[in-house]
Amino acid sequence: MNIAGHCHFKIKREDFELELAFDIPVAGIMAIYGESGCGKTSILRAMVGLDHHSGSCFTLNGVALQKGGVFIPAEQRKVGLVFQDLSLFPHLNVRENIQFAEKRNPSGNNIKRSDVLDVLAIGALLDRMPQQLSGGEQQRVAIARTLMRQPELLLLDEPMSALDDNNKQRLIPYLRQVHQTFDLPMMVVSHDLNVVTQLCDHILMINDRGYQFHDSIHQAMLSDDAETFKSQQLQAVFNTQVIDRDEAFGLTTVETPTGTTFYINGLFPKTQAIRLNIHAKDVSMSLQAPQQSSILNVLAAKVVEVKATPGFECLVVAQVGEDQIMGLISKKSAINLKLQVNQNIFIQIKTNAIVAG
Amino acid sequence: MIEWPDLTAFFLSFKLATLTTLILLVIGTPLAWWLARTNNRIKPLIETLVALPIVLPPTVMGFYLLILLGPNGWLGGFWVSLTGQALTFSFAGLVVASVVYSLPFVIQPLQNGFESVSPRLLEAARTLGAKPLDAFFTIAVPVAKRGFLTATVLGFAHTLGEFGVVLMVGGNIPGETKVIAIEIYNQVEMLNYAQAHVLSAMLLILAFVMIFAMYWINNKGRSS
Repeated sequence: MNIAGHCHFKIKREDFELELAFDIPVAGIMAIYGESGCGKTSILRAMVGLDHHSGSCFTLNGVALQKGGVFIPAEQRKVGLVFQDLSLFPHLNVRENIQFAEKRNPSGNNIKRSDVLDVLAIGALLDRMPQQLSGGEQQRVAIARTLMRQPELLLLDEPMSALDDNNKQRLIPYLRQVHQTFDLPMMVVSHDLNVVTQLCDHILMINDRGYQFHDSIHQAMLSDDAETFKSQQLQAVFNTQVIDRDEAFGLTTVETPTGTTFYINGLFPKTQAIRLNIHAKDVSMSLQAPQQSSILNVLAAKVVEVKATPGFECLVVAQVGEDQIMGLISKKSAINLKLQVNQNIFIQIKTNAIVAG
Repeated sequence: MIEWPDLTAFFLSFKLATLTTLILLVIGTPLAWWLARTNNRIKPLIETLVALPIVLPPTVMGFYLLILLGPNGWLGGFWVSLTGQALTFSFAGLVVASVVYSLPFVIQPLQNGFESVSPRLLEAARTLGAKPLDAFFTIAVPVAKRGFLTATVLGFAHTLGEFGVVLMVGGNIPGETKVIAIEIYNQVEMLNYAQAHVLSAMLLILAFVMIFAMYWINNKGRSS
């Protein structure tokens, strides 16, 4: 993993203390995930230079933004922050909001305004006032404005919190596109695990056990740290490519980097990278290959591990080729099937249970 | 046939109100900003001092100002040593007195205006590369513009209608300290009701138009 920067923060507030150290990956979007009030926003505020916590240090692209007596204030750091409340300037229209950042950051020409307007699809909104925009549009304008800061790191605080489910889904591709187009390290703070698993690549988890970093969210789900998730939230996360489209039935076949294929609902463009989220609760298991089943995704697998959950369920980790998929089944089923490590099984996933985007 | 009154007093009031309002905006802006942002323990004390002119009778304020501005008062004495002139019964003295007298009418709307500016907006401006003073003028001032409009109109109109304090520290010197309210009083004393009518009506209409415009613009800004 290539590193863009390193942080070591000692955050002290009246109600809590948090000390943590982590690296910022160059590639991929990093999530900071934790319950509300665990200090996620405090981390972003320290990174952007709005709050000073003595004894902390933060290096970005080889430059010490905070170290010992050095503290570069927010207005001199090339760190962009999209606030949770967006903080669009209410007296300026969209164009002026964007120009506010542009005028003050003329030197960097890496991020061009025309590209920003294109990627975020806000070219038609320039003459509107912020109050006249929908929640999703406001969010995109706030991201555009922050990009015109020419940041070397882009931070987003709960980017989906003000959006309904539909608009959340719509924002995710924009954020991915921003990451790809501008080749910018990005960190997203969220308490919403769906946002994290659908958008992000790396995860920094903050919980009552402390904090844990995982290079891959899929691996985080398989690790012991996944105990902090609810069993309903457990899922496999794959970055896949489209390999086939079935126009007649409206199905797309996608493949993981290690060669496992899945049918998913809907027709996706051939070149598109697709994130799959396969929730353990949507995966069922049988000992024989099901005959005449309605389920399209039937995969031969081998049991790797059977973990008891605090409820009346078992989490079964199954090896499918080079990939691992989790299934959440009832304890009764696990006993009926006499599931054991290394046993050969078939796992089944309904196409419309797979979250793809 | 109504005789057109001498407008010297009217123009003097206008000059006094303009100058007072400008001075108050310059000194009031940083003070109001500080009051809107600080958690300092002396904030209620400063707010009380600022608010006092609203409740004190002009005679009380005028009395203390007379002592303060008089040749033996510390401000008046300093002024004499500086200019050789007394502050009392002079236009300069009226300006100082008016600044004190109209202080709350400028500070309070400015403070309210600044309190309506979310600190987050200024932080956002900083993260976009604006230094604090830049963020103040480009974000805080325009977002608080209703406060500025209210402060300007109230400060101006209140100074224009000043009577008691002027009488105490400035007296009745034509062209120097005889402002319109004093002139109206004089005309009534002399039973020149016609003159008093014209001057009073001018002041009434002017005050109405200014305050109406203020409310109208502020409401328009709110609905858009």
